[in-house]
Amino acid sequence: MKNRFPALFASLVVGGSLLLVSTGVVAAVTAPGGPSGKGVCATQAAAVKAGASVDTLRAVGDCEINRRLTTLSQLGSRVSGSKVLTSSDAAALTAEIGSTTAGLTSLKATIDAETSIAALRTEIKRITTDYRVYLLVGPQVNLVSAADGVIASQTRFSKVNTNLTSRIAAAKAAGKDVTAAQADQDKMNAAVTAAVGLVTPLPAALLPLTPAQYNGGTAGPILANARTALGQARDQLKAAAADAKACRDALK
Amino acid sequence: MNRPASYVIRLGATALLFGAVAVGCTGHDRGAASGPTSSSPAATALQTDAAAALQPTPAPTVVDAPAPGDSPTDSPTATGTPSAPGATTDPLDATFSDLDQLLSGVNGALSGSDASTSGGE
Repeated sequence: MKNRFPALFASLVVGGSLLLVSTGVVAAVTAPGGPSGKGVCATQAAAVKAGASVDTLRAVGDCEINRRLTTLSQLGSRVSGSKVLTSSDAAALTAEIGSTTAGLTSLKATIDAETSIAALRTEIKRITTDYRVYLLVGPQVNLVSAADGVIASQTRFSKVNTNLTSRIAAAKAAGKDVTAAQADQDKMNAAVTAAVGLVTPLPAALLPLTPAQYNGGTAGPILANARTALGQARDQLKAAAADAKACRDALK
Repeated sequence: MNRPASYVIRLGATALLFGAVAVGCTGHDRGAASGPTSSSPAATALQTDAAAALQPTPAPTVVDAPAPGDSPTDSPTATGTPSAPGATTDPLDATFSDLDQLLSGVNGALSGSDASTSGGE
C-alpha cells in the first residue's frame, strides 16, 4: 500500500496533464485602455520628442482631440441616459458638451490645415487650456449627476418614511414600545435633510464654471468643495438607510 | 528486482486509463459543440453551461450593478433573494434596494469626478 501511493500520484499527474492538454487553457485577456487614459497618445508624443515636425505635431494634436471627443461622446450618453439629472441640469450639461465638442472639432480642422510648427505648438496647447475636458467638463458631469442623485433619493426616503410612520403607529396601537424605532426614524429624516441641504446649492455653483475660471484658479476650489460636500452627503445617506433598516427591525 | 518493473507497468496502465477517459470526455464535448477546438470561447462556454446545468439549483444573482463612473439611475432593477412559497415580501425591501442602487450611482459619479482617475489633461 505504501508503495502504491507514488504510482497512483504519478498516474494522476499524467492523467491530469493529458486532460489539461486536451481541453486547452484559456488565456487571460488584457483590458484595453480607455480614451481618457494616460499614455493613449504616448506614441505620437514620443515621435514629437524624437523630432518635431508638422506631421508629428499634427498627429499629437489629432490624437489628443480624438480621445477628448470620445470622452465627450460618452459623457453625452450618460447625461441623456440619466434618470436622476433634472431636465434643466441635463440641458445645461448637454449644451456644454456640445459646445466643447464643436470647439474641439473646429480646432482639429485648424490643426490639420496648419503648416507652421510654432503655430501648431500654440494650437495644441489650446486643446487643454481652452476646453479642460478632463479637469472641468468631466467633473462637472459627474458632480452634478451625483448631486441630483442625492436630491432624487429624497423621494425614496419619503416613501420609506411614510411606510415606517404607519408601522410605528400600528405597533404603538398594539401596545408595543416604539421609542427605539421612533428614534431611528428621526435620525433617518435628519440625515436625509442634511444630505439634501449639502448638495442642493451644488449644480448652480458647478454648471457655470468655465475653462478660463479653471485656468485662473477659481474653479478648482469650487470643484474640490463640491466633492467634499458630496462625500459628506453620501455618508449621510448611507447612515439614513441604516437608520431606516434599524427602525424597521426594531418594530419586528 | 522485478518489483520496480511491475510498478512501471502499473503506472503506465493507470496513466493510459486516465488519458483515455480524459480524451473521451473532451471528445464528447467537442461533438456536442461541433466546434473546431475545445479551447475556443464557444467550447469553454459550453463546458461552463454544462457545469452549470449539473448544479442542483441555479444561484440567484444580482444584476445591473453600476460600474464606477456610471451615472446614477433610479430604475428599480435589483432582484431580491427568492422568497419561500407563501412567504410575504416586505415592500420596503424594494425601496431599500432602489436606494442602494441610487447610492452606488452617487458613489460612482463621485469617484468619476476625480480628474486624477480620468487620465488628466
